[in-house]
Amino acid sequence: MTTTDTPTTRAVRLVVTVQDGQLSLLSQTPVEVWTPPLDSAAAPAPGSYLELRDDAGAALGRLHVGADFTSGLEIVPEEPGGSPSSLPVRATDAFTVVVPVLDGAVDIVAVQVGPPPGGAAGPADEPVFSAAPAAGRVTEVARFRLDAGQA
Amino acid sequence: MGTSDGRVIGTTQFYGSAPRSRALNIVLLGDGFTGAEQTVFDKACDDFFARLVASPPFDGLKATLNGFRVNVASNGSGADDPTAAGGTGAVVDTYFDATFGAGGVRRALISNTTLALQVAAAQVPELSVAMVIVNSPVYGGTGATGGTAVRPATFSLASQASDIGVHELGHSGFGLADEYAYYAGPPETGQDRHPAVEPREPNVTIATTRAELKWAWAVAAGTALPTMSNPDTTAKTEDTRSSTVPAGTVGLFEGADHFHSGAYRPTHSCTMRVLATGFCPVCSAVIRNRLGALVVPTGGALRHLFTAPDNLVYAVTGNGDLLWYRHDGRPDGSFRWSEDSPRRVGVGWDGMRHVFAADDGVLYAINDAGDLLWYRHDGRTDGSFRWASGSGNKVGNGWGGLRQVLAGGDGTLYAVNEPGDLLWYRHDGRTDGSFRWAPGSGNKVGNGWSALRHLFSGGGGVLYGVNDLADLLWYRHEGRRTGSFDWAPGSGNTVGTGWGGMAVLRSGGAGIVYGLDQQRKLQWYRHDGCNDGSFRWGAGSPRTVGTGWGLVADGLLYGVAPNGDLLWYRHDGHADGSFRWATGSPSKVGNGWDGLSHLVSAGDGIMYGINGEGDLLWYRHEGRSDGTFRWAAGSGNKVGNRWDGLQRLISGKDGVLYGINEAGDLLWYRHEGRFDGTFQWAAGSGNKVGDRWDSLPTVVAAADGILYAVNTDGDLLWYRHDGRFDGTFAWSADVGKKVGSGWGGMQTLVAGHDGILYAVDADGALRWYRHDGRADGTFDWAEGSGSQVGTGWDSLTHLISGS
Repeated sequence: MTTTDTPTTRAVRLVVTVQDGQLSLLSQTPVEVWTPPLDSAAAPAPGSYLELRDDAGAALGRLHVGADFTSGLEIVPEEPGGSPSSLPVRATDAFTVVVPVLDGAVDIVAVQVGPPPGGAAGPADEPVFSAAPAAGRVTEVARFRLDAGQA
Repeated sequence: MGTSDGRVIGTTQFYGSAPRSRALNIVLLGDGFTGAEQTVFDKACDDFFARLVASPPFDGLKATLNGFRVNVASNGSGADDPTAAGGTGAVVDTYFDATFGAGGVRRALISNTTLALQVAAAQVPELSVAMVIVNSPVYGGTGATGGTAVRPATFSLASQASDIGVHELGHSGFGLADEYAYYAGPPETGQDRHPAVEPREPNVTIATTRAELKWAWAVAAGTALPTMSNPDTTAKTEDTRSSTVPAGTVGLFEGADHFHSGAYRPTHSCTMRVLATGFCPVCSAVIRNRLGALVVPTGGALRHLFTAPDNLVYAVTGNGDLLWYRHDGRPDGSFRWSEDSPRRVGVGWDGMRHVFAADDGVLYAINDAGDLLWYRHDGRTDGSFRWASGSGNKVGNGWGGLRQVLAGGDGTLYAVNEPGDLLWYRHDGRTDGSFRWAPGSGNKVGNGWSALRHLFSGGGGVLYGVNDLADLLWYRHEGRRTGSFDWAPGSGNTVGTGWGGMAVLRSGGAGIVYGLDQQRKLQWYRHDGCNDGSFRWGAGSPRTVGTGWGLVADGLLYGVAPNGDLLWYRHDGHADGSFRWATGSPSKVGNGWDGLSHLVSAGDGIMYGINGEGDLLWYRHEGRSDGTFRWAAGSGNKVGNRWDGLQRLISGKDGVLYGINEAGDLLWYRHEGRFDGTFQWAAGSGNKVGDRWDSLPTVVAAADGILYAVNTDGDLLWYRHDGRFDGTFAWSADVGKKVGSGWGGMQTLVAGHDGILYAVDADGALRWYRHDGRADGTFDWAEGSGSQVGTGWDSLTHLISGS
């Protein structure tokens, strides 16, 4: 094997705030860290994502950031050693992620992916498996310009 | 309030030394600590990390962890504690505005997460996780659920409040889901049945069958699925029963992902369900894979090495990274590699038993369950981390029982089964990873192929293999398109000699052959007779095109110390008998091993021991590449009973065990469950395949049916068991040949890979030998045989090879 190291990924750190369902980009800072691979499935599972898109609007990859952009709040159990539980969502939230700067990426788009059509919204009487699952509805929540120059 | 209520003093890295760009960087921020109370915060950070790094699987991953504390002096000491939520009514000016009582629940301790993130990111731009520690003895803490986005957890100094931080680390650090079966807890509605969509997280599922289960690899064959179902068929309540199966059993336990039914978790309990109970094997594997990806690849041990079209070479490292290389010098055998080789293009491949490449970026892998998995590396042209949708699809099952599997081009796969038949398959779903196979797949197109090692395809129907005489044989399968039993004239021709010392042989296409030799060098050859099976080779063959490409099993030894510790060693001088050992040799990788009366190694990290009750126990050491304390799930499984009737236990390879009973009979066994520790044995196990073996004071087994024995005169004798595949009483014609003398003074003898023997002499010195005549039992030994490579080895109660 050669001795060259695997290069770390050119990436940016985003700090995003969420207030009343609205996303705001607080900061975008270049950072040199290894990042795990992005999800590139044609039909992503339901959830909230940050997508890297090119000039033509094509998704180059996406990062899962939760069931939705506003997180639930987990609290410690009443007695130590039990299970946590959740509180209703809070109005103000913030999160940070690191996204790799892929060649051709110009935008970071926050999208909410709904369940696939046809029964997925119901309870799990018939588990749904498929090599190529149907795509759920994709709703754009926010769009930020990727500052590739900084990165 | 907020930043006017204090100041950031500074940041200190108090744990770890991993490069920040390749580490899990945990940032702890203090709130409610005045300037005079900073030592309290410092101690809280130390305490949190001490608990974290002592908890599996982090105890074996310390090298990837960095701990940072951000000291912040608040104007006031403590946190707000509103009376409305049952608190004291305290109001404290702190930098991050920590307060109990969020949502009216006193123990819900929160802070200004936006400010905390801003400060953490400014202080440690490479942060992976941020947590706020609040200076209060009141029990409380919160985290935020949701994906891999980082949201700070907040917890107090109260005992076990920090457990919420470890749970949140599971979310934001590793993308794990909650495994508890409710949301806010009773009374609540809407959490009865999980939606009929498979969740994306790796530790929760709606699957109920082994075929669809994403953690099937961790489920024992005898475990029922589902393992525990919610007895409330209305699903209005969660299942709060104790486990009905032994603790730690991996299966399907209903109630997970915030729903009472319709969703399953891997084990009855896990930190992602109940705080501080420890991560289950599935979550632990996720954590190991994620952190293992951070380790910088170095020129070290590999698990798999294989080639692909377009000058590509792939390797799976000891920590499971899939590395991509492009050998630009392939056409002429020059030492030219693309400047960006190697590149990491995958992680978590260490769980695969076999990996090989086909055309058009397609890779196949066989996992421990014997499933054939399909991948397509779309980033193969530039070594980028891009994979086709559907990568990881299961496209076959039952492939674990095959001796060799390889791709032959145009969707063709060849396999050699245990009896030695060559089987033909064509994967018609190769372009999209679907489970479609051509008619006739599984056809037998040859027999007697078990006699060949290192079988590889040269493309165009050409197959190569190495026989017991170390000859390289050539074949061309004319029936490759339809699976018929048609072979080109000349098939079986010898096209090379002296190929027995290769650890790996692979084709680079168009007659190019790569061989990994015992000096860890990657050698290039060009077979000009590749089209007609003639003995013609390109000028300059071989040429060295790479160095340091050793396989993971090379040189591994395990010893049991008198106190029962299992010690790991890697002899880096195994190729030439030099006195070189891997850093960390020895490392303690187990304890309590003195309770086993016999201990043998079967390669691939698999070990067997017999306990005081006569049970045969199975283990697989996952940390064998680096000497870490990592073991496969199920290690310690009982896979046999009443084995104490054997005087001696000897391990061959490929699951074969030999035993010598009190009558002196040599008995044959083959453990079919060797990769997952299940109680499955081949037909014929227990067959007698020899007699009067008790007259031989020492017997050890090496690969390919070779056994060595030392007789009472001190002679080293060579045997080859030709019936090793099916347990028949068949031996090579010249068994018992003397291949050495003076071995009677050795205290211990173990067989490594490729003819290497280690012996502990009367003075406790460890000596290295390589039997170059191992294929045919000739008196041919490598230069340097007998070299001393260690001292004091007689202090060990057991010594076994890990190769």
